[in-house]
Amino acid sequence: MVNKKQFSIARIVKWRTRIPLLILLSISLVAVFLLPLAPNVSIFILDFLTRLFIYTTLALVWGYSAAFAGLVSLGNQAFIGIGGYVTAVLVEKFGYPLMLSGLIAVLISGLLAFAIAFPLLQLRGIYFSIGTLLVAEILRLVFLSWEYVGGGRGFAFRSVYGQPITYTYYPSLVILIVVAIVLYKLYYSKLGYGLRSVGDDEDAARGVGVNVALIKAFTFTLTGIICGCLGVVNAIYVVYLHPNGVFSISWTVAALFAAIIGGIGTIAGSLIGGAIYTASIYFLAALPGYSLLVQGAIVAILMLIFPEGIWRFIRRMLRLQRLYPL
Amino acid sequence: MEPAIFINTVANGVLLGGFLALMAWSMSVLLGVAKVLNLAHGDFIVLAAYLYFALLPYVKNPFLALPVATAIIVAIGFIYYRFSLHKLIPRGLNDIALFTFATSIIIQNALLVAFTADQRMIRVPELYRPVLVGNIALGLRYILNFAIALILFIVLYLFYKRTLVGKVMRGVPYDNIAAQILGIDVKKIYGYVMIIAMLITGVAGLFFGITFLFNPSAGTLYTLLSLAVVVMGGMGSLRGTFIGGIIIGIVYTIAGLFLPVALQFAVTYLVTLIMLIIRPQGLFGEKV
Amino acid sequence: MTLLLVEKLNAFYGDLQVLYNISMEIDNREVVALVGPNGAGKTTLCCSIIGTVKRRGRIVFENTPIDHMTPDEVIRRGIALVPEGRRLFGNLTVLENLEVATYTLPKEVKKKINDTLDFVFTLFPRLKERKNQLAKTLSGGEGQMLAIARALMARPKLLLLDEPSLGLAPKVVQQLYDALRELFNSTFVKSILLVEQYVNYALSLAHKAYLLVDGQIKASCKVDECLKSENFKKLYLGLT
Repeated sequence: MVNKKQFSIARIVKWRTRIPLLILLSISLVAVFLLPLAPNVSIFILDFLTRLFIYTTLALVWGYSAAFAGLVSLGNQAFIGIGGYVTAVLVEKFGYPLMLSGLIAVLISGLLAFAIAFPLLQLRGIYFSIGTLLVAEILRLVFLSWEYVGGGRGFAFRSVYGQPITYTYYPSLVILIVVAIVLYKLYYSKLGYGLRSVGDDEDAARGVGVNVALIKAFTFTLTGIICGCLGVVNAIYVVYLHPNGVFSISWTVAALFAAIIGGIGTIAGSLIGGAIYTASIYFLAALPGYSLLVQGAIVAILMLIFPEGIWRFIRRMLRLQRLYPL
Repeated sequence: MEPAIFINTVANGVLLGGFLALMAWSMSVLLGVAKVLNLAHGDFIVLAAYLYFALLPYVKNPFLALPVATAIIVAIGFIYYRFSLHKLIPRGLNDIALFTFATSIIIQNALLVAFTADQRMIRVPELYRPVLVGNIALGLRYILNFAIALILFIVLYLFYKRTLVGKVMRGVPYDNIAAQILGIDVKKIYGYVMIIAMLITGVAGLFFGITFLFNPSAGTLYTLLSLAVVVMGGMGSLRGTFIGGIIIGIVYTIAGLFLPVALQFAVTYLVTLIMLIIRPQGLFGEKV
Repeated sequence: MTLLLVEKLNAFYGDLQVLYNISMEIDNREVVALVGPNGAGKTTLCCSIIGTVKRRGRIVFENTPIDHMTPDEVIRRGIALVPEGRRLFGNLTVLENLEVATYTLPKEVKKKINDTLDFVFTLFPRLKERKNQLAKTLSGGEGQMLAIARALMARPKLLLLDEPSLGLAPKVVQQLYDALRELFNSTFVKSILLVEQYVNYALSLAHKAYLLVDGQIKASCKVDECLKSENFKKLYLGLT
């Protein structure tokens, strides 16, 4: 028997908190979009935000795949590297326009993900993770030996040298927003349910008619596409590409860091984790050696104190689960 | 290509394989019993190597430092397990991966601060000479490493097959709940496994330090190589790690005949990946 | 003389309550059957006694309260569990499975291991034949024998058997129950708690029975009464 009074009170509470939050969100979105146009805006802040957007997106897509589909990838850096190198090479060596190159790079990333999804699909749990790690490592080593793209000397993406920060600020922001919306919608869609059922119990899902192989391939391809986008933006950001940078395992470390510390599979959590990670990088630049030590220590300590991630902890303390499931 | 060169290469590969197995056993043991993938695995070995390096001025002969250095690394590992890792075991793969990654960063940077980025080695000049077997030249230290690997294998085998604790350690990963029903304290068993893994690490660290140059960030490579060995041979299988090591060693040395270093590793990982896809449990692992 | 006394026992899986105010008694030299439909909580009750499940209430064994003890302490007091579904260590041999069961036992019991093995192999000769075979290669019936033998390694006074007939062919179950009768008569164990979904098997061996439905004891009776009672049948099938 539903208590009508209780029901409507819950509704009021829901909108009481939702409306201000929606307003807050809209304002901050507008602010974030207009920020680069403001006079005397600090490059440092724009730089920080660009990296924040990139790491947040990374944490989001990694966490989504890991927490909901049960696919823990330790090799997303493969797509970041491919995305970056394809873009740079197409522009520098073939003279293609930047946008087109980026698009092609993302496409190739997605295709690569799709291609390797099938052999890796049948692997479960830890074996899948190791497989992704090996693929990324192999790619790194191949690019390290490939003279055409510079090998160990790296590849200079000259065409984007000297471009203003907005070249990476806006793309990374737009990618973050689009990915957040897509993943949110996906979560509540039929495909999303299929995805979550596979992550929960693969055999049971297969038993009720879910096409497990297709869903896994889809999820992994999505990861490839999104990380490919990040790779393109990253290439523009760093200008100078090196296999040990773009195919580095530290991308996975960043994803793990941001997602787990912030709260795996949540948007707000990925943002919080991404912020902490980005902040720690700046400390690193200031004091090498010690600060990485501190970064590692922070992760270890936060993991022990907040097993569920900071955002989930906050949400639980404030009892906001039902209102903000993501 | 001359057959002699080929045989020489394979022989060196086998010896290298023994060494790789020596490095990989502590990962295999931890993975097999406690199902913990320690991404700081290589870094613990490098840490051990640095311990020997630090003790060198006091003992002159690094082999004499074996008990002390091993005791220290066992203590470090056990404290690490008891006060943090063991809370993470029920939390699953992701969390353990991140936590051990973080540990890896901490160890690497602590070593950087303590010892600087200079390449180090534990010099034992008597070992740096080739031994001629027929017309094959083999490094003496590699033969030593292989011999130690063999001894360690026998010791571990006897431990797991003949002692009661060893049998319990084999049973626990098969059915955790059965172990609890028999009154076995699973967390304590994991603690013992950690100690064993660290004992192996203590030994491996010495021979690693004698054989190769090392610096604070050397651990990552060995974590990856050990992972390849364990995948090839089968997680948690003692002989799997040994055979897996030998196979990886041979693949590596043969690839070295035709390819530059980076691709040498790439081919090694590719072969591992193929094994992973065709037969995820490796040669001797439990069926997945 | 009461061997095991359970009073107002409540058991939980996390926050979910599964057993409600259970009370039962097992006397010395008695086989007690615990029957009830699937999901009633019979396994939970066994696990509560042995200590692997969160519980609240009184459990007294030989005048010692055991409700706050860990499984290894309970085992050392003299209670052993043969779990549902056997739960053998498939990658270990038959003999190794038996040896591993002695790991947490006190020295006096460990010393008698050869005597215990003799008894167990006499009771289950098939296990002796397959001594060095891997447990996962055993047939269903042999596996059940091994599970029982493993529990006996603790030389328990009270043996808890959780659905021993599960998944076994009737002929095999018959052999199993013959062995159980032999076990009881040999006084190697003092009493047995027999949990079964199939009432007739349990009642063929038991002196008294408890009926567990939806986490509560709905009835208890001496064996000959149970067989005659219409009420008993109705309660079992949930018709009341």
